[in-house]
Amino acid sequence: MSTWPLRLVHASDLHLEQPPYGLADVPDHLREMLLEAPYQAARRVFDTVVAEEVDFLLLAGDVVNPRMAGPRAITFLADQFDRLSEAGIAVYWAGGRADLPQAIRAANQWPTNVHIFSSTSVDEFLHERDGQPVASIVGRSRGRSKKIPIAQLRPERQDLVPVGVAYGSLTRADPEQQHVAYLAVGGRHAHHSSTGTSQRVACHSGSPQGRCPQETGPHGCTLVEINGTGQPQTQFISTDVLRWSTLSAVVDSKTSLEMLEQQLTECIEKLTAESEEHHQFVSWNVSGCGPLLRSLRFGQSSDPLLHGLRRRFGFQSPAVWSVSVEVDSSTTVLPREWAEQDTILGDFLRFTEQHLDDPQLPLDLDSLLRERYLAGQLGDAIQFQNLPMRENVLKEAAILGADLLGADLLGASLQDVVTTGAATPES
Amino acid sequence: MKISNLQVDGFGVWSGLRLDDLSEQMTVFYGANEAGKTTLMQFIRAVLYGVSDQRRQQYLRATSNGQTGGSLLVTAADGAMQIERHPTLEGPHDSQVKVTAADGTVHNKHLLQSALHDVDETTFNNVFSVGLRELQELGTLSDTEAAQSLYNLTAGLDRVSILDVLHDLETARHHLLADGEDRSEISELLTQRERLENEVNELSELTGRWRRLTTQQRRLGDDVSRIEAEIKEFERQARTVEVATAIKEKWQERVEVEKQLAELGHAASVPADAIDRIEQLASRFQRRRRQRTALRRERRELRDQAHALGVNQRLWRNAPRIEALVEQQQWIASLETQAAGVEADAQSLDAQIAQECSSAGMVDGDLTFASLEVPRHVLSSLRGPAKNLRQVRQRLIAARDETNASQQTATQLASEIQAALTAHSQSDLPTTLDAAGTRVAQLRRRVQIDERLEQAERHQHEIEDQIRDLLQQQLMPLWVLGALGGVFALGVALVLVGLLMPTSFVGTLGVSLAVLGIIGVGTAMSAKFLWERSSAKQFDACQKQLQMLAKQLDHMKQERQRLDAELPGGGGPLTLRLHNAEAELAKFEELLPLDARRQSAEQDAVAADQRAKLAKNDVRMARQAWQTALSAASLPGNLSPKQVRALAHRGGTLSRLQSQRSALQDSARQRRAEFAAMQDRIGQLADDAGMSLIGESAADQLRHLVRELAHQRTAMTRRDDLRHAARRLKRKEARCEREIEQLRARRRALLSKVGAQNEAEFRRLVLQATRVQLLGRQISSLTTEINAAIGSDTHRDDIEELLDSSNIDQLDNRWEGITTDLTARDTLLKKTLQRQGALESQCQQLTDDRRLAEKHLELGVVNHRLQRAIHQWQVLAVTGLVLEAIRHEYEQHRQPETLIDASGYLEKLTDGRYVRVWTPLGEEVLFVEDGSGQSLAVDALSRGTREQLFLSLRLALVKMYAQRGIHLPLVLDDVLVNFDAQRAKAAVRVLRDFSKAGNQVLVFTCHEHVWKMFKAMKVDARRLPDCSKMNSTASDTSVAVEQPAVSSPKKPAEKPLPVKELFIEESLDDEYEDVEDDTVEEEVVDEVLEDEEEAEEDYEEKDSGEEYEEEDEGEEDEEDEEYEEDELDEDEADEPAEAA
Repeated sequence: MSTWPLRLVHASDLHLEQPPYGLADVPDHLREMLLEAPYQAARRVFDTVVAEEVDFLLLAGDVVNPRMAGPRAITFLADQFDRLSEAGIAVYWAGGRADLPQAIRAANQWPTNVHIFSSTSVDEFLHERDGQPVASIVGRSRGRSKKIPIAQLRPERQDLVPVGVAYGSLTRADPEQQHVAYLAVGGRHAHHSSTGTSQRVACHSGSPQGRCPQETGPHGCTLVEINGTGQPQTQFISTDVLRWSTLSAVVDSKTSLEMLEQQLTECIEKLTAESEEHHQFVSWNVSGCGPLLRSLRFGQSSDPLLHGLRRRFGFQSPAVWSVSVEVDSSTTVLPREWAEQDTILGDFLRFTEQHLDDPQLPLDLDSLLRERYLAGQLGDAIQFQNLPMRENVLKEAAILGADLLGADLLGASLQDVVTTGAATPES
Repeated sequence: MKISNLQVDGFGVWSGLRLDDLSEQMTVFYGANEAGKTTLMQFIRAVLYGVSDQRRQQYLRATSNGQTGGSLLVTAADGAMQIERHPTLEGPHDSQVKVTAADGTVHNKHLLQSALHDVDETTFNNVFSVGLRELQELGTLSDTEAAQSLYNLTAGLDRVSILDVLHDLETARHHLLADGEDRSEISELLTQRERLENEVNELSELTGRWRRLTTQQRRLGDDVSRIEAEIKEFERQARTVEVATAIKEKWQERVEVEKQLAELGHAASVPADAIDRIEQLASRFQRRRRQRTALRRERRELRDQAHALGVNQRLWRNAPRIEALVEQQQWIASLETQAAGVEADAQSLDAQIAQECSSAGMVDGDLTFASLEVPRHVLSSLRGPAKNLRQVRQRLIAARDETNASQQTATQLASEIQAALTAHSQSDLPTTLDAAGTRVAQLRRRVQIDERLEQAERHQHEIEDQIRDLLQQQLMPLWVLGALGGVFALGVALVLVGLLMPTSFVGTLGVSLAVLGIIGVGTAMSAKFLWERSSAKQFDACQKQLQMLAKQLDHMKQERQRLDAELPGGGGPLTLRLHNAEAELAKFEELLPLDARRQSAEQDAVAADQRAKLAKNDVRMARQAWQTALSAASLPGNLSPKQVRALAHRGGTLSRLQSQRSALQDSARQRRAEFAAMQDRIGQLADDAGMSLIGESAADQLRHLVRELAHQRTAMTRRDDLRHAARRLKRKEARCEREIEQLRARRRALLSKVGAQNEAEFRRLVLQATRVQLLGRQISSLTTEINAAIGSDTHRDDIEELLDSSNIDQLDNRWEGITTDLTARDTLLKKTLQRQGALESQCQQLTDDRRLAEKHLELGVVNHRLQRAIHQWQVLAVTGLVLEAIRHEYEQHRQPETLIDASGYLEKLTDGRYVRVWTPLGEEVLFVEDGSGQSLAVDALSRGTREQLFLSLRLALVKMYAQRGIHLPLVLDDVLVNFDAQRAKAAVRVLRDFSKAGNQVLVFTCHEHVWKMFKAMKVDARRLPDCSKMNSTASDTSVAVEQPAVSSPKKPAEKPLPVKELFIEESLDDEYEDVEDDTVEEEVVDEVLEDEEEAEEDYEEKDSGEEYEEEDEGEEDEEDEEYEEDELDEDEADEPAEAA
């Protein structure tokens, strides 16, 4: 094994074909920034590769969907690869869900410094420095199985630095079972690194750019240095252009809209102070109790609040754009005595509880759709995709039903105990 | 409140009517139509709630006694009280009520309202005092507070209408996703998404286009390289053509010289004295050949002399064998003599053995076993198997005899039966019997049909006659018509007289005459109406019977045609044919005993055959046991017990003789074999020597061989001498031959050196070689000059190709072609470079295109909105589904108590056919659920069932009021009029049970059988008096009707008998009077109903031919038929009830 360190950059999930999503509307002045964000973040990754003078770049999948990205992304990548080729830096590329090896090979004639792993078998490339092999890179593109073939990622040359690259979900046991010093994994947009007892590291570098409100926090690539003893050291390098955040606020029965706006303003100022380089997209999550919460739930107060925040902070540079104001329904608890009453409301809540307790009880949403919708894509879209989704809908339905059946007339005020995001148009 | 007495002073048709001691449970009144039942119900309503204007017009008129209205004696929570109301013909409807308490105090209407528990008149009329009209109109309930008891499902404790909530949810859902073609948020978002996806897909195709463009660009680059290479090649070719043109003349000269040289061919190297050397060799060769020929002729002559000696080589080689045989000549002669002597001894022993065997009973072929010896213990072991074998053989023979006997018997009987069948042209007895039996049955059926047809036609004629009579009866006889007309005219005249004649003329009788006239007119019209209705009913019944008979006749005629088609034609009348067929069947049946005997014989034969097979199997087993015993005794298996016995008797004599004979035969065979071997050796020797034997005996043959051997020895000596001389000559000839070959080789070597085949060719080749050397020097000179002109830049092969004889004349054309191609390639190169530039420009445009990313961005926005809208829709939908489930739960299990009670009454009334009455949430309609769970709207029910439902609802409502403490009498006026017998029976029981539960029920009915049912259940049942008689009597006497059941208020001294007493007196001869026991009364009712059911069954049996037609008709027809059946049931039910 070489006595001097091996340096590499690990990046994945560039998704050049996918601009940010999850927004109900796109502000015009930020539109250009949103369109360019994936490319700018990817360019920062390649800049890092050149600047750090690494031996090679590991791409661990979902770099680009050739068909959905268009010629611009292919040309962009080819230019960046040429740039690395001129610098004598190799690229080892394992395909993911978006970039199947067959598709990326067919998309372009890539430079000779780009090596693409097969999806059907584990390939091994020997990386040379000054004509001498210094590292063995084993890897496989995403195949039919979603599991990472940890056991198969074993280099034949034991005297070289072993490095692996794959696409899939990393389990806790993977670092213990891997045969390579560093395993670069793609397929997860958040950065995550795990180290086994044998100091072997498996790492999701994450996407260089967060794409939606759920992908909060910094995003970037990973700089890896493997010393002469084969022990890797990783360093996360931020490359994102815009950053997503979800911030919470609590209200009570005395909180007014102005007070809440002031509370959110302080949060934004604190956020701006922490990061002055990035554009910020913030989703607000309000919980607590009081009439303001009901007003927010039905959209009567959330729209002016959003408008005010956007006007104040959304047009500065860097911008802080408020995406939405949602009412947190996870803390909602309906009074037990409501469900025990011999009323329609009591029957309704007991019925809902039964469906929550027994997921096997049917909820035939199809019966409310016309056949022309059932036959189309809407028929699948209205179905519950998973159990949490069903539970969420049932909880919100319970709150909505309680409100419609006049729970506020039963002694306890619905607004005092219910905080939910369920919208009831014009109800 | 319960009514105990009722007094009608003047109301409608009634005046001076008293009904006393009404039962607290149930009282049933019978009265024919127009008897005043509805008037009594209206009277109760009028006393309790006053006389409305309509009621005043209809029921109040001036009576003879001048009194109107009447009173009720009731028992309420406040005690007994009398309610009187005497309305005037004109005046307020409730101003005349008078409530007198038991203590005689008079109260106003407030006490009455208290007794009525503030139940308003509308509710009373639709719930407690119900006529057929009110019963049939459920909608009238809607105007009462009672309806809320039926439809109160909507209002929950929440005070929130679940229907309103469901409606709001549906509206909100439709705002998100409309059912129809309306615009909604989700549908618009779906449209947007679809449009964006299509645009994304279209833009995604740009990647493919860009890839194609880059591929084309790469291909154009390849084309440019190829064209540039082609231009270089053309330039090189132009230089080559230029050089070729310069050396063209010298090239042609060299080609000419080479051509001459080629024509001369190859010239070999030739020595200088070649001609002299070839001539010397030829001379020496001729001399040696002549010497060799002479030596060869002399040696051939010596060989011919040796062949002429005739030496037999084969005989000479076998000389030692011949000499050895000569030494054994004496022994050979003695062998033949010895063999003949031994054979004679053996023949004598054979004669002795044959004599012994014949005396032992053996046939000639058994000599093989003659030497066998059977010991005594072997014999005892063989005795058992031999005995068993003998017994089973005997059993086999007996079984075969029995089989033959039974088969003969069966054959004989079969031939007898066949002879009998053949006489009737039949072949198989069972088939014949079946056919004959079927024919007899068909003929009998045919005869029966004729008889039934005759009866039916006779019946048809009778009914037709009856119909004709009825038609005539529909036209009323003249004397009846005249009588009725007279009564009618008289009535009219009396009315006119009463109304128009002056009082001075008729006095106080005017009104009475008018009333009498009206009665006369009414009686005449009623009689005429009843007469016509009765005739019409009888006519319809006859028509139905006639139709039924016609169908039966058609059916029988069809069957008769079918039987005629199946039966053979001819044969005379049917009875004669039936007689003949029965006789023929009897004859065939006589053959049955014979056939049984035949079958028995065949079965015996089969059984005997089975026994024979078993015996045969036993014989085989016994034989195997015998052979096993022989094997165990080491005896041959094919010995019979008899042979074994003979062997045991003869013992060992034959064995000894046989052994002696065998020894002699062996000795004789040995001698013969030795002698034959010697003869064979002599014959073989002669064959090997190539000679034929002379003489028969072996000695003669041997001597002949010796003689031939001596001759041969002499010839061999002469032949050896001749061979030595020939060898010497051959050695000389070989030396001469070797010299000839040496000369020939030297000459061949000289010719081959030049390459010639013979001497002449050798001389010609020497001259040719000289010429070739001269031409070669000329070609070398020309080649040097051409090479200098070509130089090193030009390929020699290309020059040679251009100056080839076929191309050398095309050099100028070739030069022009190359320059043209070169120009064209230059042009093409320019165009390709231009196209490459254009492609680069297009690729750059595609690379700069960002529309795809923009569409992705927009698609993300639309998807987010769509996802949020679908989530909202899901929440609304789940809320709606849960509320719908609750609504269903309420409708199923939380119906109002009144409807639950009504369900119980309806189930009893319909004998369980309908089990539930329910109302949907938020709607004021009712549904009825049958036993299978199917719900029907009220409108979908038949009239009878609908009235059962309405009666159930009234009973349930009365019960509901009773539970609230409101006890009012239930008055039912002819509500069972449309019930058939079963329904009426169920209704009677339900009403009786209802009254026993503490509710007072007053029932008015116009059906006597219904009244009798009530009476049979020991209910207070009374007949209403004839109001017309009461009035006429009154008119006659100007007092109240003097009927036993009616008392006139003007004659208090003579207290009129209550209706109940009147009925008791009138029905003394009624059989129900004697029935005291409840059970017996129930049985009587059941008998009444059973008679009705039997009548119905009879009718159904008669009408069975129409059942299928009726089932095929629609629901409306079914309802009509049901109604008609009800009427028919009523009519038919009256007859047996009266008969009973």
